[in-house]
Amino acid sequence: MDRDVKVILNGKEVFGYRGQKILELCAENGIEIPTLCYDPHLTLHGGCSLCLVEVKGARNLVRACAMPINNGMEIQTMTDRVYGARQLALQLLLSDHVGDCRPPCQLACPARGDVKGYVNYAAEGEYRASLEALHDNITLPASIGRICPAPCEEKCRRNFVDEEPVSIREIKRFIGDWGIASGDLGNIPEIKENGKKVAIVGGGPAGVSAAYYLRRMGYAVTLFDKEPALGGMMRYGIPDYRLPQPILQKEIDWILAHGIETRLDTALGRDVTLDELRKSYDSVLLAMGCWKSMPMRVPGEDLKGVLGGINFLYEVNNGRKVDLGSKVAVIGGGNTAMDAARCALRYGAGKVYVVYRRTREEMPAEKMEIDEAMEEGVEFIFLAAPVAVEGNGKVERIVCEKMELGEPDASGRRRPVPTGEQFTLEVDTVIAAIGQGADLTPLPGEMHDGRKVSSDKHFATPMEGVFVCGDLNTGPDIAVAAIGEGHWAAESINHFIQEGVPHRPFECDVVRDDLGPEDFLDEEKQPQEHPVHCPGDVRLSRPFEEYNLGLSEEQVLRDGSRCMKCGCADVHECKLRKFGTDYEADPETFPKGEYSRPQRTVEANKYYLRNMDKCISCGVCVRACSQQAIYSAIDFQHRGMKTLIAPALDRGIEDSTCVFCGQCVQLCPTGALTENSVHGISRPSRSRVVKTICSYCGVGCELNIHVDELTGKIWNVTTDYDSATSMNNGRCCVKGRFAWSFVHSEDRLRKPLIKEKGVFREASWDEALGLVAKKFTGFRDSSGPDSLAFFTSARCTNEENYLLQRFAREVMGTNNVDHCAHL
Amino acid sequence: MTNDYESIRHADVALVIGSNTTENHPVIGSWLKEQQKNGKTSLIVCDPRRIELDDFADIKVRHRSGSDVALLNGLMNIIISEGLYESEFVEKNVEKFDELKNLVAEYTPGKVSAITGVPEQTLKEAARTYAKGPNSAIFYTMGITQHKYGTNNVKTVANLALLCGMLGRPGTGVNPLRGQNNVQGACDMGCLPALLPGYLNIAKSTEQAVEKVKKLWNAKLPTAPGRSIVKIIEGAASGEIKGLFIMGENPMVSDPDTNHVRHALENTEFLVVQDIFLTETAQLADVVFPATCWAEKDGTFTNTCRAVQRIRKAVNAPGEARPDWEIILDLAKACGAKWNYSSPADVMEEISRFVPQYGGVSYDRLDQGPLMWPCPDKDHPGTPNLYTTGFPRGKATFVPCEWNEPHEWPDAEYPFLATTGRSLYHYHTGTMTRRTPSAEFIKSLYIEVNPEDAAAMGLGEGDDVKVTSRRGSVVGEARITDRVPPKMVFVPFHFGEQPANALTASVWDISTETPAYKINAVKVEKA
Repeated sequence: MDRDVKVILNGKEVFGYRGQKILELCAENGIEIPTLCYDPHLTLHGGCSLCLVEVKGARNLVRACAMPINNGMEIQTMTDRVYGARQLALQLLLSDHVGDCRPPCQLACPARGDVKGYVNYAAEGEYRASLEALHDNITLPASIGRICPAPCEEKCRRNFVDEEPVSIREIKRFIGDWGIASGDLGNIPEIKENGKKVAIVGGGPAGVSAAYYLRRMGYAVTLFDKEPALGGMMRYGIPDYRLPQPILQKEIDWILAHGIETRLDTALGRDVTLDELRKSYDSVLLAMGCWKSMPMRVPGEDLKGVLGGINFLYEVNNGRKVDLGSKVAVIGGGNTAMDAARCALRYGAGKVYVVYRRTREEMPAEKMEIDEAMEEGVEFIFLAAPVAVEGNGKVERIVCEKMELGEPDASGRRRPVPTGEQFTLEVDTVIAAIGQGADLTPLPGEMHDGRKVSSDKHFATPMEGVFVCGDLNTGPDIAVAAIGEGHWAAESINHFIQEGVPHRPFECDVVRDDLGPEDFLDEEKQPQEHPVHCPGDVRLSRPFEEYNLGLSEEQVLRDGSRCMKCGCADVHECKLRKFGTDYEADPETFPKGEYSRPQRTVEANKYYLRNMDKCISCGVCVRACSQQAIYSAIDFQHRGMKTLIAPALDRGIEDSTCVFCGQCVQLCPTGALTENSVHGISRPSRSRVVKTICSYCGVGCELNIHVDELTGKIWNVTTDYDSATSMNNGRCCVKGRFAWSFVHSEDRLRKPLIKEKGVFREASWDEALGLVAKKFTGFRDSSGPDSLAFFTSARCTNEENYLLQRFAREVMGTNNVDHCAHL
Repeated sequence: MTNDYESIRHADVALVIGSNTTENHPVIGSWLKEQQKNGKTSLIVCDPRRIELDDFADIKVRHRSGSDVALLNGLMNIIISEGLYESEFVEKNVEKFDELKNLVAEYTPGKVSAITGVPEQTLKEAARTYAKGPNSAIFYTMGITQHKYGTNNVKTVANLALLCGMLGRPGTGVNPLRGQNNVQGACDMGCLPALLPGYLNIAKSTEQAVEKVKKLWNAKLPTAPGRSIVKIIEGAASGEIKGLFIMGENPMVSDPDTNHVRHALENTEFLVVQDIFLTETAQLADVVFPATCWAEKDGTFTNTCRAVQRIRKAVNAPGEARPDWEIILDLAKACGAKWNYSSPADVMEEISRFVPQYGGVSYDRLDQGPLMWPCPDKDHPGTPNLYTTGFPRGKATFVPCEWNEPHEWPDAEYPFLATTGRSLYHYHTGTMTRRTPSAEFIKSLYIEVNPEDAAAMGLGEGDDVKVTSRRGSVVGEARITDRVPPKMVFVPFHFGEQPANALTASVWDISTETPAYKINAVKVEKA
């Protein structure tokens, strides 16, 4: 065809042929037009309205998939109007796309740990893969696996079945410990340097994580910390009985081994200034945390013997002596208060009170922490607030006021209201663990309001190139939140350096929040596995030794298998989600009309899953079935809002004319159709494709084998419609597409076998080969070459067949060689 | 196949005989259906069963099992008598036309209709449509070959194509669809008792063969005739074969007369089996070598249209399993051979020197795409369609064949005809597919029975039905369907625990020794 049609495409003159559609011309010129219903191998449908572009002179935006080009046509593919129209189209599609993209556990995790991935890899015994999946989002799994309050477990839908979640945190810890015990936390990839430098101030979980993810992207990273060791609050704020420092250190060392420079004992404002960093680095990330204990704002606070909670823990974690006397009052109800109270016991205090102004129900500390503090003998005084600290030169007593609970406050917890009734505790030390704040003194005034650093949602501060993350950005939060902050800030910095503007990754997730126990009645109950904890008295006898011994391997395998694999199997490949992310389409823009409608079936056949809740009626599957498979097993059924895709006459797929070639599944742009045979989890996050030829019939279809890079196992087999080397032009059948799991079958032969007295035993290759060589040469020499015979194989390769006939003829001297050509 | 896949797009007429294409070669089936649906190709389907392709057929020829030669001779009779054949082509390219003409003259539409059960009008339509073309292609598989007179069937197919000049152009050809991924390659590689790689006949071209082996292997070629599979099994049973090496085959399930095969293998003094599973055959072995499967190794397969294609290693083998080529190499070395290959690419390099048709094949070229042999040198683009410029021997020859009654025919005692074959969902002896989701979809043996017969027996869908031949019997779940005609049952052979080959006879085509699986006189009863 002559390319004689001149088009101005995004201001550039290009030539196409008559009748060519705008979308095809764009593809030829390297411009991707988003579409969900167009496929070059199928007829046009035009239903998704995503491929809209602007044509000069046209009143409305036009569909690029359907509009042919004209001479002189001027096309703009990415104006604000186009962007807005596509975003709107996506929001509308998402409003009727029901399900979970990512599982609730992952969305509950501030770092978006791939829970389903690492838990299921662990349950399959694929510990290496599990650890790698962890490292994709969670930098310090062995450490986090000890201290995390596990918001993921709270959202785990296993709660609907067993009233107990999957032991996600303990599994994480097991995997982290497995890596540490095996002495190898994972391969350190060769890093492709991009020539840019980033300074990170603060080596806590946020800073270390940011360093890791920036380094993986190719940045030269320098990590500054005021302390002599990295770890921040995880090192200096958490006692060893909960997180032994060697564990944390090993995990940090592995991250540093990626080639991260450290400058320890170097404080911002004291040893180095922000201006110096800005001059020497392409970007600066501030992650210094919240190290200031909040004051109680009561008289007597300045007396000797009043300590800040975090300051006390800092001393403890430095192994320094602190004279607490015999009676200690800890003020506050968070984890810092629990740690302080329990450390006070370990530092010799005979009596430790925790004074908290609300009740146990409202305590922000983790339940386990509270229980264990109680077991160890800490006395809790609820509904009490300090009003004064008294003493002669040093603390002698603390005066408290009794409280009662009033109306809920902004945090949703019931507000403590003073009653006027007071009481006094005789104590030697008061530890105020009521909150922490940021130390803003090293920062210029323009960056903060005196209480917190100014930043936008992309972690950018008012000072160009300077970013902030972690507790310094959010105020005190849990460690895994800091890890997430570090990760997303790293992404934003990358966007800033590469594209000129800060930008944190947009997350497009459809969420199913209407489920409850009644939706899981078919699920078999299986109780949660719990780790072994030493009892309180044993704990106190070895005060700083770890007492949670974790789950055993058997427990991990059992508990991991409780995961119900919520979330969509197609999450890494779904085009709707990809475009939703690209165009920042909020799935909640339009109200969800109805949740799963009864007529929208979820049907699992032996080969694939059909979830019509996720169907966007793009009709790709219908066209694939009639135009590629030539079966027409499915079509649009019913009318209007009730339209769905199904076999005629309300039959199930297995009772239809479907022959399970899987071409519909392969082309489905969403998770409405997904392969059933996917190994364990969903599609893996990292996968490679190997092109090969099918091993079934003689047609010789080219297949794409998809290998999970984490496990080295096949997870899918598809075809490539556009492959230049494919003789089948992308077509295939049920065997090529779905009948491959025998490859990883448990009963594959793994060792040579020798039969002795009618029973097989395993043998070494040397022994087995030696025996066959001896027998065959023996027969050849004693009974003549023609006492031997060889069946080659129509299943094996040319090379193998060639060698076996050569062996028969040359080495054994017989033409007794044949194969089952006729069967 | 004389022609490639692209050729299918150019066929005005496709005559499919003895091939349940959509089940056994589904992708080719999809092309045939697509061509027909789009009005580009007229489809003539000749099969005793109402196979799925029959639903798309413009002309449906439901001839009786075992009547293929009569049917094809009948078509030629009509074509010659109506003057529809390509006389110029025949004169120029084919010998012995008179012999053909004389023989098929006996196969009048009336006589053929009586033998085949096909109405005369249908025979005429089929003959005229095929002859008219302009480009007509024939596709066949085991429905043609797995008969006692399978060779005659094949020759007769070729006669028809030659008669109408339907060779050497896109859209024409005689196209056997090969059942296994590399059955073509195994033949190309000389894995046949009488032929060296590249089809060099040891008996007929002894001097050339000896010379080649001396030059390329520096070895002395044995010239004593070798045994075929059938003769090997016989020799094993009689004790003449003492050592037997079976690479990746499962004759316990795939070969006729299972009981006979078991006896032979048990009687073999030393049996070595190389496979990926402990198959029914491997269980009888003295030594089992664990091999890699297709996803775990590099190499080449040659498909049904002679295209050599690369397979590539995707994953590691389990345990100590090793690729077959490595095992053979080490075994040869252990037997004192001085072989020196470091990869399958090295082996292909040698193949390209041994096999003239593969002269231009190399891994570098295969990375760019398939090569269809003959591809004699590195600059040759390969040969999608054979005989475009005539025949290698100068002229082709008609080999007219008389129709013979099959070896076995339903009688009073065994009134049904059983035919064996494959299901779309399983493959061969099931060692692979029965470890995949297909094992859940089709768990065990099913037997297709016509509704008329089922009603007569009081047999319901899913009831157990027992099929018994003179050799043995199997029990399977009844599938009641008019895909099989009355008095015929279809028995797939994938299920080792109920092996279809318990029914089949050790009866072979004389020249190819292909077993006559398609015809078995049986009785059918509710189990």
